Amino acid sequence: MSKHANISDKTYKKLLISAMADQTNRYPGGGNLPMPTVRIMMPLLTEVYGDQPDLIVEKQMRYLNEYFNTESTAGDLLLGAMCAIEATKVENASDISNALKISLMGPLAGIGDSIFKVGGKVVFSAMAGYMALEGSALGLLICEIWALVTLAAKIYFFNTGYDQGTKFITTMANQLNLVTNTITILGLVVIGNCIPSTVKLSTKVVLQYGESVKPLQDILNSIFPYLLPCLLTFGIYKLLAVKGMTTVKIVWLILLAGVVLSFIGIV
Amino acid sequence: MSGKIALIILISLVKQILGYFSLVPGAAGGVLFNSVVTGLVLGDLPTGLALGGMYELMNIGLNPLGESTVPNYNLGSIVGVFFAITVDRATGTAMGIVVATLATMLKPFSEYPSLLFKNGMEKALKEHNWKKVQILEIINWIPGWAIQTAIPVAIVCGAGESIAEAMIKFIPEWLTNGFTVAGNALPALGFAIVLRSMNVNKGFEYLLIGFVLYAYMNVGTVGAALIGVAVALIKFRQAKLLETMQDSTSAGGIGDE
Repeated sequence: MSKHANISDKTYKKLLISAMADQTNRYPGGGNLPMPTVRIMMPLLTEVYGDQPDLIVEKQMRYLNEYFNTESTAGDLLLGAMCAIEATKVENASDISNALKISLMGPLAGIGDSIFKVGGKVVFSAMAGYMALEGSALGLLICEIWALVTLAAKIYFFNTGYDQGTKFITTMANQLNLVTNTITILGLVVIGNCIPSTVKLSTKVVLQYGESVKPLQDILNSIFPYLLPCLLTFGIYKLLAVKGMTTVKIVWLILLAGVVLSFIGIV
Repeated sequence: MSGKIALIILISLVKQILGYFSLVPGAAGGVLFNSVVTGLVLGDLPTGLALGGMYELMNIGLNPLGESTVPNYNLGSIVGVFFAITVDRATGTAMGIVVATLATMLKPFSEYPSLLFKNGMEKALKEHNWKKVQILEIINWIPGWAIQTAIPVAIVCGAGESIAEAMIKFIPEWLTNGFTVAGNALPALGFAIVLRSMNVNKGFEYLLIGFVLYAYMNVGTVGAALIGVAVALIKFRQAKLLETMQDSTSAGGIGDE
């Protein structure tokens, strides 16, 4: 008796290993999943529909050509459920599976991105970067642990998706919302901490009142600590909302500003 | 030197394969990993760490979500540390940023091979060659990696060293200083992007907590993260309490009728 519905343990193991691989890493442009889905489905379909190769081709052509974009870690919940549906061998399994895919890929991308791609990255990148600037490589170890947590989450999500199918939508979404909230709070605290500790901007301008000479930076420090890093971050924050502004343009702008301000001796 | 460049590229290849199974730092820490490896290969770990930390911070908000194109610090960190060690640190820092930003132009070329692999998979499907379908999907990262990492590293590091050394004599002080200043300011871009995506209007208080922790109390990132966990737990318990209170009031209301 197999541990998982409708499919042998050996095939399930193949499915799980296939689904463990982080698909988005290799696809420029993020969570583009049609091709990995075809690879993950293959061991399942060949076992369940082994005697109907034309049906496999038909199903796989749909998975290969229909839009599927989500975050790949949380997306394993969905992939697990899709595999479970295909394994039931019901006549319109592919229709159900694709409908499920369309309805859930958006919400899962939202949850997955905020936990694994944005939130987790902020917290652990900031720690690792800050520690490295202090001369410690310990941050790399923390990031390694986070990578392994991601892997464990993928395995857990795929298993849950397969075994519990669509039931997971409500229970899992509630649990993940807690994680999302936690990591958002954590991310904001860490960013607030990193703006003064890692954005380094100061001015060389010196003010002269007749005989007395005072560096402008000293005055700024007495008004508000780390005023320039805060203003810079706020300025870029506003700039990002300008229409037609891209990250790449802002990088060039900052480089240009650095060179010009350095030339006239302000920084 | 070419042997060391080859070793750096080889390690990047191994990292890519291990990263496939989330066994090495990826989104978080991947850039620092590249810098540290490059520093170790060239025998200067402190430079690798210092620049790696900087590039890692610059990379924080840069997520290639959707169609947006962002600077490629996975490449920039290798090139930057390479030149920081072989030429000098200010040149290296600037090279890393410029190469990472220029690398955005490589993106369309690295996406094209993926289409060829997709056509290959369709053909293999029609031939009922299931193994080939899977293998094509498994190896389809190779051209993208070659175009975005291996080839640029080989060309820029291989040919760039002598050019950079010759150029350094003519680069005025204000120019290298300008790049250093810009490099120190660039993490702000990543933070600003994250603040946009995290909807800071709803959580300005948390930002303030983090700021005060460093600016007035000198608490580093790890300490701040721990306080962040504590605050999140408080929030969670309050939300739970509110939920149970609402449940009991609604239950009481029904009982009264």
